[in-house]
Amino acid sequence: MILDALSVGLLLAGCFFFLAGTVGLLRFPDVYCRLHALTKADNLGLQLVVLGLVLRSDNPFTAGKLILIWGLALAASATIAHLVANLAQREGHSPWTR
Amino acid sequence: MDAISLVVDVLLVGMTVLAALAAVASRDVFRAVAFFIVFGALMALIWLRLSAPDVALAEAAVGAGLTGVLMLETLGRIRRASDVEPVRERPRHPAFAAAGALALVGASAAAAAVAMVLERAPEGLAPLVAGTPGPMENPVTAVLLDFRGYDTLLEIAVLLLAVIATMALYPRGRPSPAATTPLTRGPERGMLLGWFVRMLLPVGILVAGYLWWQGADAPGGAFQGGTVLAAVLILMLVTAVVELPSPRWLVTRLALAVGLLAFLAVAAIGLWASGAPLDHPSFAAKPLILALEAVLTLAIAACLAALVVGVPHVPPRRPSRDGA
Repeated sequence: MILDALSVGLLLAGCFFFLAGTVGLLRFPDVYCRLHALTKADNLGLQLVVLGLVLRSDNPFTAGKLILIWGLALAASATIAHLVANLAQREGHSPWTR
Repeated sequence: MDAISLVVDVLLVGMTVLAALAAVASRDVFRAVAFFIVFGALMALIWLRLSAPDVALAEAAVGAGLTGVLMLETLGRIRRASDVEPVRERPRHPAFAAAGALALVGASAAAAAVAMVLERAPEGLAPLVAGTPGPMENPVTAVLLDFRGYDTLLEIAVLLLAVIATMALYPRGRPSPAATTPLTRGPERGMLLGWFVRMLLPVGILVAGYLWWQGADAPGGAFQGGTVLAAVLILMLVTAVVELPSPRWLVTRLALAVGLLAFLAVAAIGLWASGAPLDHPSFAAKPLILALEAVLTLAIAACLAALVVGVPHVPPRRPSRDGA
């Protein structure tokens, strides 16, 4: 019961961060800010969703696979953010200033 | 609970139709490709909702992933070759878009309602597969390699033919850009990408092996494992973590053709042992199928990687060899 409540709480919190990341992607002014929103908020969202699902998983193998997926997504997102930011900088996108 | 699933399903169908329309109707090619990838991902979710995880895996890996990469790669080559400015989208009145979206959602809901009223379709192969104790627990693998071996054999042959056609389409001496200027040799050179690709290799091998082994009694198998392996291979090739193998090497050609060769060998074993090609002899059916799947995993990975990365520049043969 407590486990269920905790898991639902984590899943909902994860969805909130995904939503926040998506709003940031749509509303932020330049490519660097958007990357920031996507990589930070979405990774936190994914982490919370994975944690929520780990609490619901019925055996340690499923939990392990979920954590592996989370790690892979984290590494891929960091690498891709780096590539995109690198390309944007070389193409002369200057960071947005107030 | 049923109401929630219905809402999710209708949303999923509506989004899929919208993504498909956006992919077809978009005037900007890059946008079309992006929506095609979204469409593939949504299709994978639909297959999952239909309790077809095998098809979902294949759709996500091949339909969205590899096909998307192929299209993006083609787009990059076209733009590099001709420096065409992308076509700008014509602005449309938002009211038309909103009306179209509403009509689509309505149509999807109607289609979903009709689908639920319809009678269940005839079962096809399903009762036969379920009623025949075979060497494979996973009915999908059983159909692919035990019941419908010919189909899979021909699929492997088609894949190999596609690779051969791709190789033949490159005129000698005109290299493919992806093959000659890997990412890390360009200005993108960075430590992070190299680290990521090196870290991914053992994980990719592990996941591909797991999918292959798992394919015997759960969703998975040669196509899914091969695609995962192909993705890692492609990353290693385009980032120059490994050198491109020359298509002239026997090893390269063998890696591409080994799937079809192994399949033909298994067919021959069947012919010898029980009088019909691809009829696996009962005493060795499971090890035979597992071994065939292992070879197919490697061959599919090699073929898919060859399709995406293209064929490296082969310098013309030395004259002394040509004389022979």
